Amino acid sequence: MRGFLYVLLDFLRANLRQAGTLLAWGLAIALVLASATALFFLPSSGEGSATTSQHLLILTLDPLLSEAEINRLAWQIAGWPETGRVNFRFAGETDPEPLAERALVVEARPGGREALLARVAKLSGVRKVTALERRAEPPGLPSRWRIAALVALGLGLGMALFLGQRAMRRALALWRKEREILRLSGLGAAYWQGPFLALGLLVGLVGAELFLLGLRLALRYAPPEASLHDLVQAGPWLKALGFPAGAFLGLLGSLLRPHS
Amino acid sequence: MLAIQVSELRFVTEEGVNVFEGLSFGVPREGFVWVVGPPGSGKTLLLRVLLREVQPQGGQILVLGRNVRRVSAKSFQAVRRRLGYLPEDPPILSGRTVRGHLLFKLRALGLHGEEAEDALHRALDLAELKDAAEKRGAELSLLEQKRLGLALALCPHTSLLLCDDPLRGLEPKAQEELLATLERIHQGGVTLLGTAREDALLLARGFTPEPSGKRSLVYLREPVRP
Repeated sequence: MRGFLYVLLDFLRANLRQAGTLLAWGLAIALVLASATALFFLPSSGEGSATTSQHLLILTLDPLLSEAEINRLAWQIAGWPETGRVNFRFAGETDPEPLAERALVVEARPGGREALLARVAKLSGVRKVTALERRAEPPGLPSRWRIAALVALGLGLGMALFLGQRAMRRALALWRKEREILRLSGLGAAYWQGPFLALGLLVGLVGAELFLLGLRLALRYAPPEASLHDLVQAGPWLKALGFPAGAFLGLLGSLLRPHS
Repeated sequence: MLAIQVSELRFVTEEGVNVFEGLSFGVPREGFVWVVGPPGSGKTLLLRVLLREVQPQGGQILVLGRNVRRVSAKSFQAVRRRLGYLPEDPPILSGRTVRGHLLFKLRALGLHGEEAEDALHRALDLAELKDAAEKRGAELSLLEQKRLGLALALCPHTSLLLCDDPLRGLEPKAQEELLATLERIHQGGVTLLGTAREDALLLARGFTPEPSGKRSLVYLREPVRP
């Protein structure tokens, strides 16, 4: 163990010569963690996208109406310009609300609700008219910030893998002969391969720390109304997950080194 | 008692080149044996087989009493620690001193303090490199580089030394000097197996083509190509 620690320190000291590349690799890992966190916490619906309303009229039918009469009534309503759609419901159905008797559900076209209400009130065979408004959520479009976070995630992942591979290639060149001495000494693969994994792990942990540092700064200087403050509660989780995630990314990069 | 015993060794490359076909020889514990052969005859390959870096297709190989083909990688580690290997081009670190090279290996092996110093001085003494201990790798002559490779292979406790073409590239005088160093190492109780392309110098120094002799030559034939 003592021998391995000596080897590891020697390897890390040799890699001080590529401190810039290692720092850039750590920053790329921090970018991946930050963008993934943003994707997780940002709301998925689009900014300023208004909800739409659906105006429905529930016409409770006279129990004495025959099927043919109901059919005729439905076709009559469907022919009006204010009508969007007409559907028949049996007693016991629950859409758009629980129904105790047979009914026609009429959807009004936008702006046609009042006129439609006035017309159905005059119909014979309709015992009661209930007006209902149903709000419909628009399909969830990603916000600009989510798209930016997604782009940053892709960019960060690409950079982390590229820089990891580059750093490992350089580490191999910087420490090639030391590695050969260890190999020729009959030391196990852990001695001449382990330090590369350890370097990846270390860079990953530095990346995670940079991410958490950035998060702390952002929370301190962000405007009070910013949604970033929602992250405060998740702080302990981010700390707990940030380090393993960073370490994993670092290890992934260290495995990309060219084999020799 | 044999330090190395090779029986009926068979090795065919992926391209179908028959490098060894029934090669047999032995190196006694007190032996100093040279394997002589032309380029491409399998001299380096033979040493790699002995180091368990390459697996042959057939034959039996005993190194320091262990069957190299049957022993597990983990069990071979103990044998490997007693085996020194001088490659044809020893790894020399231009920025480190000779002493720094040896300390690097010793500390990696977990040796520190007096134990490491003793092993270091013994290796420097055996390789006749004491005067160059503070020289950096970039300042070493080719002979000194070979000596440093020897010192690395000898520390901390080597009982069998494998040398891959150690005389290659050296001037005749330097060849004589290195050969004399190897003789001294052998007299110090280390079993030696070296490889060489030519036998003239070795025959002149009393090595004979006597199988399993203490100072013998083993000749490799040209590989058979398909």
